[in-house]
Amino acid sequence: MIDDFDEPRDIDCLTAVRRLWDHLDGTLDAPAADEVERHLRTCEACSSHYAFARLVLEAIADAAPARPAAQELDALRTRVLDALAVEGFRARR
Amino acid sequence: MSDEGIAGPMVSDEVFERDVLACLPDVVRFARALARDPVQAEDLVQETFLGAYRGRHTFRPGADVRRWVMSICHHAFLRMRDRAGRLQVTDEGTDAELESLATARGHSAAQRDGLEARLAALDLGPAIRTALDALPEPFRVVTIMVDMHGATYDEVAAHLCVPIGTVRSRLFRARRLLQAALIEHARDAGLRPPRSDAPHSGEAP
Repeated sequence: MIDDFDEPRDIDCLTAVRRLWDHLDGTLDAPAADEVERHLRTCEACSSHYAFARLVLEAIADAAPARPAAQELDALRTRVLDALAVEGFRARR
Repeated sequence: MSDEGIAGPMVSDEVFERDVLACLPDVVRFARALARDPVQAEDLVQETFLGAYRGRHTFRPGADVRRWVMSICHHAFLRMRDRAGRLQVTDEGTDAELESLATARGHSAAQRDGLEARLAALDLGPAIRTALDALPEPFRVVTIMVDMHGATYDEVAAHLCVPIGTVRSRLFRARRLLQAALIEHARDAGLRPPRSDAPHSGEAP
């Protein structure tokens, strides 16, 4: 009888928070992720930990350097092509 | 990248220009995240494409050009650091799940101190960038690759030649430290007097 294995297990808060980053990164297997989701639906404290961790991840991603402006890219491309030309590279320009 | 792209033992200049140089915007962003200053970042961009050109025979057909160039960029960065004699040695961190647990505990303490609500009103970018610069290099680079540039654990592990578990523990440690830095940022903001041009809150001093 495999039904026993199909039922999601109730996990405690300690287990839920130990899986915090793994769950947010999507690296848990499906049963483990389901257990976390099930726990978060009923646990306000753990839900707030997860929400705050998402905020931290968003802040890190937002702090990444912005895409360089076209003028900056043109200048850097010219510099790179000049350096490559010394190596024998022939660009169409 | 097209099918006839970087697939042969030697990439033509035309293909290099079309496929490898097309990664310039991504390389610039990655170099700026890794480097400590704009001059070093520009040097790093140049070193990256020189390295890619000199090593263009090492590109494996079918591999992701962008990932290949990013890997060259990071190795070039490490060489620059080595030359500057600034390579840091640090501990690897502890069990990754304990880092998750410590992250949640740090959040609980911030809630108790009333700092979480204050964070919502702050510009977190400068605090994150300062804290990121202060991280030991092995932790910093994993965060930049995964959380800023979307690399997978597998890709970072292959690139750094370390087990996936090491990537995971470094990443979780780094996130915990960055979270702690944000919380301290909120605490400091509460200690600073309000700017004179800030709107009046109506609260008692």
